[in-house]
Amino acid sequence: MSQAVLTHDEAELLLAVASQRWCDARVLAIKGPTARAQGLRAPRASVDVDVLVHPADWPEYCSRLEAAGWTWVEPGDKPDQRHEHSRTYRNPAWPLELDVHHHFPGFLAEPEVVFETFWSRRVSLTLAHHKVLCPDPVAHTALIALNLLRRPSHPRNVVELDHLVEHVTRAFQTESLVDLAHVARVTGSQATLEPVLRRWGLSTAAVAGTSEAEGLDEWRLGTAAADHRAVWWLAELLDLEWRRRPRLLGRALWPTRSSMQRKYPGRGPAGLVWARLLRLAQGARALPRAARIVRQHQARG
Amino acid sequence: MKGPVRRHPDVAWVSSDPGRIVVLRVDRIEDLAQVLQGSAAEIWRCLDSCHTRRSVISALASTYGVEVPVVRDDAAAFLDRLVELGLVVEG
Repeated sequence: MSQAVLTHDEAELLLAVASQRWCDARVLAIKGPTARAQGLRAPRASVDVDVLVHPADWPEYCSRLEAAGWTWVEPGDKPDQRHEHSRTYRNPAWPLELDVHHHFPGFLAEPEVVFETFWSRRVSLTLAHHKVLCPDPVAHTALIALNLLRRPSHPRNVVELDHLVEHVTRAFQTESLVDLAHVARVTGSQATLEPVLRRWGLSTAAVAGTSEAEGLDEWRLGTAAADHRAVWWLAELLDLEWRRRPRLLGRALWPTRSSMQRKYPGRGPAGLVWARLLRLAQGARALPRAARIVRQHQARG
Repeated sequence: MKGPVRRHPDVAWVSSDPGRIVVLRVDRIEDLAQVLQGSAAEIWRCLDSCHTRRSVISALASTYGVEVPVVRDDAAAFLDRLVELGLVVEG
């Protein structure tokens, strides 16, 4: 018997189970192996394990991880970190990261409302010969769809969304589809899920309140910007007071050394300089398109 | 030797190939996964249907086509180790 060098597949299953037991918190396994077990995702290795933790339990959960040697991987060169919905943790004993969500982008209702909706619909699956809690297939469908719609034009997401749509069309009875529309309404995701709800013949309605309308605005900008990071920087820059813009501009043009090292692990000083120059060139090329997207977004707003 | 043994209810395990099983106490955040290979993996599998030390050792001997005394000491020591790590409970 020896302490394990885990394969990716072994680690994914064990971490999905264990991460739910490490803290006295309400935790649901999301995406990854549970979604595959429910047929919502085609077999494919995940790059990380995701859990959804009750927002009230989230700080304690993160502290527990940190006390046990998990390191928070601080987000890299993202301009706007006001809307932190998850934290990524890494541990040398595990070959994949753990993403700890207290909220999930695209659900525009309050995080507590979203979690309670998911928690009230939790089901138990068996992974690695152990019980694990996850959302029921209907709620999980909404979450998986939103995850794919964050980068709707990414080739892999297009394929996976088609798989999800086909699976739901084949496997869900009418009652489940009606239930899905209900989940979308309660969690404030009717508008964000609109592209897939339409494919299932479900109607979508207007967004509920001002905060949801603002959330929808951000979601739309975010999905437009997902493949064009320059959009985020530009939108954030225009959103700031003049006196605060130089600092952000500095971060945009010349990210911190630690941020670059996280993004390009293993590169030496010369490699990092080269990566910075490449990044600047890509940013300059992306700028006209980013400006167009931001202008369109502002015109809609 | 006759005492009942069973896997701890808080253990999860995966077997990515027949000769390898990875086990973990999922309730203990500091615990590391353990790899069981060869006869160690076989003993873990025996715990599916064997619920005493004696039956585990007999099943293992039968699997390898040898007499019980040949595997007894090593198997007993391994079961002790599993108990020590909290992966198996006795009694």
